[in-house]
Amino acid sequence: MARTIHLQSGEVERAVVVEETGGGFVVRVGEHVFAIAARGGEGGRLDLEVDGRRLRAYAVRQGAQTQVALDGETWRLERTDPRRRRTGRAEASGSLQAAMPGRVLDVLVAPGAAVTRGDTLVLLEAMKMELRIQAPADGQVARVLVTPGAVVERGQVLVELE
Amino acid sequence: MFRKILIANRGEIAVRIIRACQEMGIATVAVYSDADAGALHVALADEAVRIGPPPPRDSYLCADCILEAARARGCDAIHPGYGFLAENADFADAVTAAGLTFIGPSGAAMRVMGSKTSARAAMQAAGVPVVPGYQASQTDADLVAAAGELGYPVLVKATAGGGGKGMRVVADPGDLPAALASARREAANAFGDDRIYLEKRILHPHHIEFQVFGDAHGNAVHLFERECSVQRRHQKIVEESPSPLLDDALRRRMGEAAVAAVKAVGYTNAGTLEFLVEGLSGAIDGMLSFYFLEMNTRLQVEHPVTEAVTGIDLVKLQIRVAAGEPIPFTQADIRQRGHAIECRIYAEDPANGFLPAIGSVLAAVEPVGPGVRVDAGVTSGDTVTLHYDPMIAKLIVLGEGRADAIGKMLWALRHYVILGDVVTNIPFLRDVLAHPRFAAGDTTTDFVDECFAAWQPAAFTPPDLAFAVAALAEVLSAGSGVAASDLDATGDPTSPWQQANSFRMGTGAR
Repeated sequence: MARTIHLQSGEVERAVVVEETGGGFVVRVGEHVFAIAARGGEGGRLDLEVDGRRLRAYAVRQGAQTQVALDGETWRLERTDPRRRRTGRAEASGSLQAAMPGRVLDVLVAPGAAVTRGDTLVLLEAMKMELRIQAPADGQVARVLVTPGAVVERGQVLVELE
Repeated sequence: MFRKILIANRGEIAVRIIRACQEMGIATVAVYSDADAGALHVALADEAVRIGPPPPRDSYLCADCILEAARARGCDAIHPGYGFLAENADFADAVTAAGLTFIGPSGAAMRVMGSKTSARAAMQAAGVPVVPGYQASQTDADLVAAAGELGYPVLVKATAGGGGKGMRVVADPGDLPAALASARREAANAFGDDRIYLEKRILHPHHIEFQVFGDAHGNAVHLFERECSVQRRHQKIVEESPSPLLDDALRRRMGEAAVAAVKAVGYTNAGTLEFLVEGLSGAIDGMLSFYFLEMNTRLQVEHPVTEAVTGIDLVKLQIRVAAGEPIPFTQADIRQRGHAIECRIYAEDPANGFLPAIGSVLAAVEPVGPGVRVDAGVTSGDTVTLHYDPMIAKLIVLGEGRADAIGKMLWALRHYVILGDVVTNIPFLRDVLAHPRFAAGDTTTDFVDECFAAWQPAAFTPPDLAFAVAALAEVLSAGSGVAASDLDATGDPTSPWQQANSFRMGTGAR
């Protein structure tokens, strides 16, 4: 019985078809067909034989994300639901939060300002380092909730975009 | 010898010290903050004492809390590790005043070597070269003449300075008078003191340090050097021994200077003298110059590199020397054998300004093999929190020579699996080790900034096989694992899976 799993990494999306055969699997990723024998071990270990080549991979799942360690590289793949339509161009809306406790060094935008993706909005100092809080996409500043010198907690909202 | 030692630290160094104590038959007491209740060092110690909430000032920096824990548990010594209270002279004195032994130098020695100016004076008195400078006069005429003798570029620094205020780099003699004036103005504004002095600007230096040891019987030795020039944000990330820059003559001169420094200040226990060494571009008649930079009055993060090439356990030696034993070998007994490299594995994202990328570690698989050592404070199921240094582990290899050690480190980095919320600097470290300048030993302190300023991982898009493995993992976990355990079932002899019959998993020796 074949099962189709949709996975995404950044802009790349793949429908992966996994079919169980006598003692192994045939896995199709687009045009690429792999014959894989697999055994799972502890801690996400997967001992594989892929088209005759043996390799040890690790895969752990965390919510919708599966992380794969393979040949010394680590990959993060998100399971997607193809029935759900993908949203269009990314729009910045919602709030930007402090990823860790720190102190606000500077606020570089004012309410109403138009920002483009990558613009630095707030400078934070945390763990003796300067962190730039950047716009994740184009948008407009709705509210600025901190001032220079303020001490912020993890998760505290710094700027709201719309 | 001590009966019970409290380890006033956390993470990999606490684990390292606990293991040394266990090997010596000494009982151990770990201390922990609320953030570390489930940490590895707490699990491994014989006893553990909660000392406070997560912020360091309320726990690992709380001298009274730690002394109280040591007294309550009947400890006779405290090992401070590195960081936190390790170079706090008042803490060292307080431990001694409480009738316990501080495993490190005396508070007095820490005070002399802890201040830049007094350390500089002490080193000059001991005949150890310091960065050439001039501070005898404040007149422009004298300063201009002195700068000419020092050689350009020179640094103009504020006597009361700090944080780069009042500091000017002057490359052209014509610019010096203006730089003196503006440095004085800035120094006066910042410190209320307009005095300035000159220091020679060392261009493209190597950062090379010597491990030293002194005991209470007047013995002092060095355990050779560590090359620590590969730095980001002024923090070391790769260290090695021997240094590819030093030849035997310079190594001997620097080692002798280091031992002279230890003897001059009556230093006891482990310490490190940091030097700047001018790269080959600064050599005069092929002679390299070295200058004392500062002394670290504690065990260093990178001490395993020295342990690997000398075969000497520095933590055990610290404990023995603190207990009053003499250093059990002489300078002539110590040899550098092979080549060791250490990489610091951090929970940080090198593609995003090396910012910490912390969180849970779902799976950590450490590389194991001949000449590979992992000093880890974080393992599967642990969390790297925002409260402390985001170092996950130190990876140390010992090879027959430098090329062998680099090959071994690249292998070890490829086989260190860390999955979870954390992003690690492992791909970055691999690219550093594989860089032609690293291979050539041309690693000045500006190497990372010059060669990796806009570093990004080589591959962005996962290979199709990664998609296949992720999907397979999902099917295997969903399907009770029956299919996976059928791997060895014989079937149709013409099946492509026939080859898998001899595939025995997990039986190979590691």
